[in-house]
Amino acid sequence: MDLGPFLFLAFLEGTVTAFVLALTALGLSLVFGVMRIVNVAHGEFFMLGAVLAWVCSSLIESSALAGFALALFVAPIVVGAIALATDWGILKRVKYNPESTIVATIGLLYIIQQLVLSFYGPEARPVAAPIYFRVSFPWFGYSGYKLVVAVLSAAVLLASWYGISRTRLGLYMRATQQDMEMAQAFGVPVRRVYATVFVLGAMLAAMAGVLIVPVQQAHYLMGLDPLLLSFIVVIIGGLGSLKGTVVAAFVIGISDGMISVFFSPTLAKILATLLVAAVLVIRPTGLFGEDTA
Amino acid sequence: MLTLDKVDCYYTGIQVLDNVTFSLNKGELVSILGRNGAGKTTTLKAIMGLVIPTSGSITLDGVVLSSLPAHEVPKQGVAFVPQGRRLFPMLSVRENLEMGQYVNDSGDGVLEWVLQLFPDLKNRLRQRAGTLSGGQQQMVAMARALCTQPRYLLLDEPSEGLMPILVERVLETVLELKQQDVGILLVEQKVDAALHISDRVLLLENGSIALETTPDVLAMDSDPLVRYVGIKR
Repeated sequence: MDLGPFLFLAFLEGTVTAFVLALTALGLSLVFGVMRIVNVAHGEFFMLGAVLAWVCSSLIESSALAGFALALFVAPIVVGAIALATDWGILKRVKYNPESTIVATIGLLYIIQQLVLSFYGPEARPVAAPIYFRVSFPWFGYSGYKLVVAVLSAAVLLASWYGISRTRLGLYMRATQQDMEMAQAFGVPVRRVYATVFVLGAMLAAMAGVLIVPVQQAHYLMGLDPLLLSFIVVIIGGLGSLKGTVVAAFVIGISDGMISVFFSPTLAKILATLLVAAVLVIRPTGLFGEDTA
Repeated sequence: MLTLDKVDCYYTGIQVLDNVTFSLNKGELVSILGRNGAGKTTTLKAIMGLVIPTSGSITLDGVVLSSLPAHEVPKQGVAFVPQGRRLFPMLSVRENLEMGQYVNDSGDGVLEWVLQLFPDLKNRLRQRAGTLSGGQQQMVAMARALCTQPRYLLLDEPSEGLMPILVERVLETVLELKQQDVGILLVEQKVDAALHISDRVLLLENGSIALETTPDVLAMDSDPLVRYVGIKR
């Protein structure tokens, strides 16, 4: 086999990674952008999504598709509820202070991890793909489910774009991001917008977790990698910019796919980190970040 | 009637408003004059609920504004044109105006009326507010406030940084609003212009009202202006 098919495979892998990463990172980016806080526990919402997908699929063992559909519905709601409780019980108490929030969400990260370890256990558990078909290319067959993941992620991203740019809630989110005080002077209930953004961000992560689990297996430590990659994406793409998040997710996802296939995943991470450094030197606000101050 | 009754405000332990009491009627134009740091902006922010008074009360036609959360205040019919315009810079002009419209769910009639007042904005509705010139931004800031259909309007240095011809336009608009029975509270550095259009004047010093008077009285004796605002005429 020559180079072409390898490149194509790497590109496919990278695209799927990129879509799921965009979904995860968008949640972090919204929270970071609108609320100006860093949610270190964001990866745990992703992990909870994956674990809940396993729970749903083991509830309905007869049909992988029914389990998956249930998970797509239940996981975001449960994780959203946890995020709402977090907003009310923790973030509001530390008054959304950026430093306190980092420390508080580090604590939350460990609490969630240990709870999952206690009740779910240390094993990595597989979840069957809801649909199984192979797309055969001339050189290799490719998992059809992975393409479904890409399509579903794209649909959620599109819905998010619509919500942010075309609805009143989206307008309130952007106004709050740009000038919180003036948003209040124009009737925006900023505290409620914060809670909503935090919940939506967590739900996006949970959805990404559900989508990825048939590919990756559910494990209580699986949240770390997406968290770090999401940070990289958010920093490269610029705070709170959906376009930046998607573009950066593709840069990271596809380069990660390419380099992992040809060299090693470690080299991919090294290069991604170098890329962050380079972007920060050239454009401190990220590729699409804007200085709203 | 908008009434402040013995309002005290503190910023991290330092008193910035001290026993401020005054009222503003419908269709009346009252100017607040004073040196930098006298508490002019704080007075406006306190009315908007953006600074919480430690004591005293602010009421609007019987509704106690000072006990409402900040985002409920504009819904009572008070709008704010802040110092430095403070538009949402990444939003389009249209979206900035929508922010005003949503406050009281005013329909598109308001938008038409506002665009009649500021016809220059018609061609710029899709432009990002942050890319407009200073004068245009001031028009948007006024338009955004008017889109809430306010009964009372708070203006914080609306002429700051504008060319003289635009200053005149802004003041004309203010007078037009007054004609339409809107009560206006104006903070302005251009003292002569402010006196020219005001019904009453509040002179603020160190957070308290040193003198409440009228432009006519000040025209005869300008000593208070020298003393509290630091200008000679």
